[in-house]
Amino acid sequence: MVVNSVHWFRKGLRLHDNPALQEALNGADTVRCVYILDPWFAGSVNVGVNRWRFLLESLEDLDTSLRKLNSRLFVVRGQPTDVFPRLFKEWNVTRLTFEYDSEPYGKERDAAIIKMAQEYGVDTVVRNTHTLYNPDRIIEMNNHSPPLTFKRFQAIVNRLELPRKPLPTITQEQMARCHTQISDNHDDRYGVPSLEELGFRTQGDSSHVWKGGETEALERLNKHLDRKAWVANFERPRITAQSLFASPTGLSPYLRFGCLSCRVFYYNLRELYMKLRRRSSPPLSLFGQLLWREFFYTAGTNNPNFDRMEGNPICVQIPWDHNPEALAKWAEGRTGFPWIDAIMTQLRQEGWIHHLARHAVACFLTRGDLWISWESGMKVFEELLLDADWSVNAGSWMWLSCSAFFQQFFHCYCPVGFGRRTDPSGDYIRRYIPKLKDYPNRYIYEPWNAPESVQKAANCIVGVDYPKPMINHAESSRLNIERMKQVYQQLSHYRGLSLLASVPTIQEEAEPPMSDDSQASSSTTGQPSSPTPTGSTPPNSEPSTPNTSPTDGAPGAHAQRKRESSRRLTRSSDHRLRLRLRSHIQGSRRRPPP
Amino acid sequence: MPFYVDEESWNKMKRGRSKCQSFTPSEGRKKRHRSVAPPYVQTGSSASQKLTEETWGNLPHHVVLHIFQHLSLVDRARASSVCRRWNDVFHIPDLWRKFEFELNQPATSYLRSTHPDLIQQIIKRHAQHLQYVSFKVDSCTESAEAACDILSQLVNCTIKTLGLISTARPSFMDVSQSHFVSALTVVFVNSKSLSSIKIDDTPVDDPSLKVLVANNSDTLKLLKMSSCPHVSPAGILCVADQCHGLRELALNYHLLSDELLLALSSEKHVHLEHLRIDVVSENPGQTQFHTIKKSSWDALIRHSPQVNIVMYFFLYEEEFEPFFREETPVTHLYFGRAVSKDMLGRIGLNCPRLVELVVCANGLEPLDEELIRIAERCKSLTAIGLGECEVTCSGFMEFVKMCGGRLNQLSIMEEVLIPDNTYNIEQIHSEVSKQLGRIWFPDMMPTW
Repeated sequence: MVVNSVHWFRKGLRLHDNPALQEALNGADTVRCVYILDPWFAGSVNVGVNRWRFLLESLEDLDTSLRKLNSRLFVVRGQPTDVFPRLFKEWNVTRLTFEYDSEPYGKERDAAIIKMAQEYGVDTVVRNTHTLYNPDRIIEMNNHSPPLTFKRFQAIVNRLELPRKPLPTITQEQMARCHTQISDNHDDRYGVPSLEELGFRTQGDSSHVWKGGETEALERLNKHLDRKAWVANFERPRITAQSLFASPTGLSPYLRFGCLSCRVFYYNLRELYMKLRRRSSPPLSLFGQLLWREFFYTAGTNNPNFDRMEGNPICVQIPWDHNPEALAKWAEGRTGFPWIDAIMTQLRQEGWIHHLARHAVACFLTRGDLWISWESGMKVFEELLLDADWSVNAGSWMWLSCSAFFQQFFHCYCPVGFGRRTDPSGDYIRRYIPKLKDYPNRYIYEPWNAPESVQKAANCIVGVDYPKPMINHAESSRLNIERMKQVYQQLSHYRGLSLLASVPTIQEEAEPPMSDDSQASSSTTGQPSSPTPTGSTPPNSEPSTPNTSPTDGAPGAHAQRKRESSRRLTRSSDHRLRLRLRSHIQGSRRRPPP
Repeated sequence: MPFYVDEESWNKMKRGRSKCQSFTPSEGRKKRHRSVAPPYVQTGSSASQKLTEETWGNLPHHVVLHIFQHLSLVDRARASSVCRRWNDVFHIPDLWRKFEFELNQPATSYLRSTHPDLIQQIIKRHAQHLQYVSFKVDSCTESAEAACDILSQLVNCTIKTLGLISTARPSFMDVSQSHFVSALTVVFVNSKSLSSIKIDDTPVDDPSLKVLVANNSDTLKLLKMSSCPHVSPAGILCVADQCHGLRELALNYHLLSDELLLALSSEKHVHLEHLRIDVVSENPGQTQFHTIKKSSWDALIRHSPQVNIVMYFFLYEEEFEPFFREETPVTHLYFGRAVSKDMLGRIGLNCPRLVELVVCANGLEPLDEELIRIAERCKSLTAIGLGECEVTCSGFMEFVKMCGGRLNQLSIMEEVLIPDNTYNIEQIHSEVSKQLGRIWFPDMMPTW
């Protein structure tokens, strides 16, 4: 029987370590490598020009590599559901292969395509390579729910066997065995589109920092490993001013688009470590960045509302402000805080910022200063950040805004001090906000405090040439800490875990006598009536505070808690979550130390 | 005349709610209904059907009340339109003792609001039943004004606890002072038995506090008024002088005086349990902070040996000069921004009652010495949090060893710990765990 394969590229834009592509080639008579792209859709979707450029470059690179193997990449215009029936018939397809997508949207899309393929008698082969581990396996190992702390996640990974070994790259012989005729008008029909075709006006300058594609990814991987080998130190690198700039060894966008296989990265690191450390087996911390990615993929895979607050069972409901004007100032780098503005400028221009810089701007937008929803920030990152995976982006924003994965919310980043600690001379700011380049070091992080003479000498008057700070940080952080306390004190499963909220304050007067048991017990213990019984109270749990008690049991508050718990799927799962969090965060003291 | 909830307005209310949180009848609620229904409810014959209907309507009053106490407001409202008796129960004062007014504008908040029709019903029919009232407002001035409008209509009330809570920006500050004060005074004058008041970030002033004292001096136990710029030290002193039952107080440092501490320590006064002080400066170098005499602190501690003294600092580094020069009985210390090494050193020397210490940021110099001194001198310290600071791993280990098992909260950002020749991060984790007798990790942020 004739086997005509189509390999469908989505992420995983590479020929090395691509098991699904290997499956396409395996015993096939013809193979076509397809990427489906809707140029009309491209303009409307919330993705910035840098991300599109990176994608197109990656596709160009794939096409170039395939040409060397006497094949081509087929970039098909349209939507998958429209495109595939046509392709199945036209090419007489019998086998469709692609990389597994663990994200809820992707799973839904793929299920529809698999069903459609079945109807056309096409076999589908799916292989998981975008993550080191199969997220479903980790969830299974954690009693069928995703781990909600990174430590827990690491503990499970420790119990797992090593990730599967990467596969070699596709060879000329393999490709020759399923040689496929390429038509003369291939470039017209299936060529990689230009940015102009997608509706982007591109200026003459092409001095972008991150060049997409597998070739670039592998070169960077080598440089990355060389540097590690040269430094011969696998400790967490100290953050310096230099760390803030795009590095020629940075890999995150390449992992995002799958130009680099995470397993190749993993095994290369591992081997290097064992070579330099006389075969001792590497600690998990060596793979920190990769594991964080896995962590968020696992947390998001079964949660279609992972990218929003409403209806998201792991997300704390926080009464964020709705303030489009302030959001725009943040997104466009007009906050008046040079450190924040420089980061947002770098992000917009280059598509990448250091993870500490991400922490700084995310904290500033949400719980630190502006008190604006993390969802707004996540959308801006989605547009601008080259390495913004849906799961990692949403998960990190929830983390940084203290909306999930329990954080001590006093860990706030100061928009002045944090940058100054990292880069005291302000070179980073001078690079991205040239207007401020003549400010003395002392004032470059807070130009509004510079005397007028200094501002004049630097040719940049605050309020005229550069905005005044949009907010008083001391004041807003004071307010926001109180807001966070309000929120966390109402969540009985976090009770007593937050440092600042644990200060005991006086108990509210006895509640009005209620005939109902739960109310009665709540008035004696000081615990607000909660729809689910809490486990044992942590030792330093605070009594009901005046913050919440005037409203405890009030219809509104009660209803709100009830809705909150009903959003957590089932009551018992809420209870389990609570117990889990307890035991991870503080109850773990019962276990003996290792 | 029995009051029936107008179906249309309840539907509106329900729609209003669904704006932000989908509200579907949950399985759990249905079950609860079933569990209280008599066993024969499930039978199918027409005779028993009739009996069933009668039985539902004739459920004893206290049973319906019991059920209602488990229901949300919207569910109670729905149930109240079933029959006259249920509607009567809907209006039982017990169910209206507590209410949280939520006032938000669609333009500034994602949250729902209490429906205007319900607000009107409460003012008309239940104002006299309200005892525990809070207002949650978003950052919009209109929301805060709406709260004031409601307050000024609560003429026949006997409120015990009142909370004005801004969930985002403090919008009460944008309300005209006269509007705010007159609304608040209505409650102060009419309630006569207020015991706890939370009015942080509002334009409350001295005259309104006088009204408060004149009407509620016997009952007031708790007053939280951090960041109320229109109150003077004399205004708060008047409260302390007259309200001898005051057990908890939150205010800003500029209101704290020796006289106030002495007033709170007078023989007539009950023991103070909780004193929270916010130390805030708007512009560096422009605020001069006074000092409090050691004798005043001593008087307070003699009178209230158990008192928690919680101080929040939001100052610039150079402004810490006046603080902790002498022994200060603070128990909980929170530094919201960079604090000088010098100041931390003084804490070790002069804060023997310290229980909890949180330092959000510090310079680049390691804090080893300061922490070790704190471990040595602050024998009650049980919780510590360090954000943007630096401590060497050895220094930190020393600190943990000295404090030992009494540290039940130890929250240190991973970046804070500087590996040295003795310990790296992995070793710190296992060594600290050993010392504490439980598994411990530094806090971390995702590497992205």
